[in-house]
Amino acid sequence: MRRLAIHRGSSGSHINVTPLIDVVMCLIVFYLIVGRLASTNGQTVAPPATGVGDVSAMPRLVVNVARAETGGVAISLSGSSLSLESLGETLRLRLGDPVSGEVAIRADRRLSWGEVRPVVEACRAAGLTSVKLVTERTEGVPR
Amino acid sequence: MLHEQVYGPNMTPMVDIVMVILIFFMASAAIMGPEWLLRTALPSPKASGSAAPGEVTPVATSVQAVDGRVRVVLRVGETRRDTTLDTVAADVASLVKEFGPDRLAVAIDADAETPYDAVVRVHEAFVKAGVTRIGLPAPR
Repeated sequence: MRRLAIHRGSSGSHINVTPLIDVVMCLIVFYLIVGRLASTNGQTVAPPATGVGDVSAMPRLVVNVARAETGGVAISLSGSSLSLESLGETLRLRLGDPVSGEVAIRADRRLSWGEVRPVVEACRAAGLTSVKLVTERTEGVPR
Repeated sequence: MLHEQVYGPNMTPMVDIVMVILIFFMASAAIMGPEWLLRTALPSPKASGSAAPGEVTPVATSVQAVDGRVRVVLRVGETRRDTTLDTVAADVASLVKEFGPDRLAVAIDADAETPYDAVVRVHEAFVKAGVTRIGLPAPR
């Protein structure tokens, strides 16, 4: 004789939250990945590789500097493309006066210093006293 | 044939959540893991040379690309050391041994044609040697 499992309880029905948790977790992962990719605005940036660096949290403001398809330099700040001329003013607005916050520069290793330097100078002009250069981690120890 | 009823916790939700957490950490490690940060000072032109004499030893470092090769010049006072990207780490280590990492204030300057990668590698050599005062001076 087959024994049937009988749910015992007040109503005999419960809401199964497992699929809800699964879907919510997948959505969180999805938006984390999309948000991260969107911060580079689709640009392919390969930072210089170093064997040493700081492992502190990435600053909120990240300036991406990459080679544009047209041959020039493509600059984006936290996912939004902008010109070099407007970078200084945008940084000034975002950092406030007096300056609070940090900026990281993720520049492509194939660029020349002459192409990256204007971005550094825009940060200096915005009132920053330091920046963080993003590098790709190779073997080494954090500082 | 009788089926035995299985009692005990339902493992399915736990397996589901553990799998999702595993994917999450794999994605985090792949996307956020492989980047480091090198802190660089941006001294204002007015602040140049504001340190008291004897407090720090300025090291003027210039990086130049000449005929496709990168040349690095380290100047400490009147002393000048010509080096390359391959040997800069040893020269920097020698400087640090002579003066101490806390007494060196490094300014890295480079020509426009110099690869950005070379500038970062010189910066890396100083960081590896334990120097913390590293900056990019304002253009003259």
